[in-house]
Amino acid sequence: MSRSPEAPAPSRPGARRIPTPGRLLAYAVAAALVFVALFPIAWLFLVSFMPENLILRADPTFVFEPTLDHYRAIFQSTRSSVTDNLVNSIVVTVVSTVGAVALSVLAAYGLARLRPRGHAQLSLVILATRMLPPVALVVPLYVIANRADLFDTRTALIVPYIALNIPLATWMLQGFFMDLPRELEEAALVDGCNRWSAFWRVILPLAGPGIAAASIFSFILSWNDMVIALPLTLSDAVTLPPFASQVREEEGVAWGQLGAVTVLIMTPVIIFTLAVQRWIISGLTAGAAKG
Amino acid sequence: MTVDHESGRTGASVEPASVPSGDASRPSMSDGRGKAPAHAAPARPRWWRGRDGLGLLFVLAPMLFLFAVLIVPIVYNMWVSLHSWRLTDVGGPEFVGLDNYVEVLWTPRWRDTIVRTAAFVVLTVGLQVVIGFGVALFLHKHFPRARALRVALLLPMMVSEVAVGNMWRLLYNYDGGLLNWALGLVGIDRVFWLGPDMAFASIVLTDVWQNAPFVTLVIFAALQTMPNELLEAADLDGASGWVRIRRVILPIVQPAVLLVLIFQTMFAIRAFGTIWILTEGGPGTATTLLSIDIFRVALQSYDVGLASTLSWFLVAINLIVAIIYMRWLKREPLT
Repeated sequence: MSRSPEAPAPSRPGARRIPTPGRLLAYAVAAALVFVALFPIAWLFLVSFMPENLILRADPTFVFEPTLDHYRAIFQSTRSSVTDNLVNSIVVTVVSTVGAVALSVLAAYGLARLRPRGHAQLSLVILATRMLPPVALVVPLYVIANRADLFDTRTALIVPYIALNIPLATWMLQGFFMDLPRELEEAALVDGCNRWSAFWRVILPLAGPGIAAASIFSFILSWNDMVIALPLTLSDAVTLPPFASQVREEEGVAWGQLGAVTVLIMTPVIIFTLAVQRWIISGLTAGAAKG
Repeated sequence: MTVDHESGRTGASVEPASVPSGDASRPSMSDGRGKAPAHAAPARPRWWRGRDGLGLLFVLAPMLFLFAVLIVPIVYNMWVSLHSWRLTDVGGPEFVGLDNYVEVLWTPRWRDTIVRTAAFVVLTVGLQVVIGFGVALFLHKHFPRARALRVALLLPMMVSEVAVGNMWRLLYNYDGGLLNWALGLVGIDRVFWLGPDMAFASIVLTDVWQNAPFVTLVIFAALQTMPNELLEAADLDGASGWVRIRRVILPIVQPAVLLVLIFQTMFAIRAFGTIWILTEGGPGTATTLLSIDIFRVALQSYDVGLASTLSWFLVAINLIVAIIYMRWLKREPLT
């Protein structure tokens, strides 16, 4: 770390001053950080729009006339069109997200609002399943899927994705549910709601932002997954990540097309990340510390 | 600290203590630990009665699902690991007791993989924490709000492992990769990044790029809870540089450091996608970690008995690490 000897210039509102050398250095370091974090991502975006003959040249060009050729190619290729994989990805991700969030809403409401005896232990059990490495599930799921005739089906992906997303979503939602004032349910019950309608009509709509955040998290995790999708699919149910992983050296990598597929994978994640950035840190560390 | 709702209940309409401060009632690792819940609750308000049964009913479906899809396969995995079983064989699984475990421990090939995995975990987590901490300190000092910076740092850890693997494979490319091009600009010879000598270092570098931002963001958030007067007082007392970090900052961010240690270790143990894309574990076995070997053995040689045994070693390492950290946590509760 470069530490400037100057005292940190306190940025008083309205006080415009010529930046000190230390401040300039800080800006330079910050710019370098952003560059290191974003350049690999940005470069792949650029390559996906770059004419094939300019990619991987000894003297790289950063200015060129963008082309959509690679995107056209991956969607129109007769040998392996990405359309099927895209559809698989969307179906698997959406269905598993809905399933995981629905189940997590129940668990989180039960644990955080009704607090049955042993709720703390139950919460810990759910959290503990999150510490299970998905890689350890690969062999048993592979064997089970083969025996149950589920190999290479979307169901074989949806079911594990739901299970793998429940712990995180439950822990996130517990926090949201607990932040809602208790009087809401009381009032609903006094007004003649039963417990279910108090939950369904009063609490659930108010937990909307929390449910949205948990959904987006589940979506990103399922959408990005390759560990489960790679062993459990072969041709029919292949989602985008395993598809993008199967383009290998021997075939001579078509970097423009590979870049285009990868951009397809990254774009929704980037958009969603920007949408939920407020919750990401507390979401990812949910349950381990105060948000 | 979490309020125990059983003992804290007075029979009044609203929960005491826990409501006013939203954060205080959040579940925490220390939840329910070291307290004797007094179950003899006084008269409860009408709407509260029967919540035990209802609460469990709400939890039942998700718990059953978790049990069926996560716990059952893990137990089944244990059964498989006690058998000699190749999916390509005509005969089914054959019980061999602990033979697979003995084989993993006594064959250099698998032992090397375990050692390599440990080296990968220690290296990546160490680098991530040091770099992440440094960047967090820098940001805290110079850019206390750092909103745009934080968003920029989020992206490497949120995009898919496949994407990370592909973008770095492009950068590492020997002939036209930008890293070699940049080296050429300053007159250094091209490096065979994914070749036998450098491949391990390269996967470590990529993993650090992907995961160090998480450390930065968590520690940065912890630093922001630090009262400014503390640092000012330290400055007045003439504390500088290292002393300031050790005596003032470290004690305050210690829970956050523990937290990132836990998370980063778990992520490092299960690292798979990025490495699979970059090298598939090669050249040879230069970058073969446990996770990679599980895939190779199960999906390329169909030896599910051995692969499930390797999975158990992965789970065991994961568990040991988790227990060590849990003990630390008990000593230094996070909340």
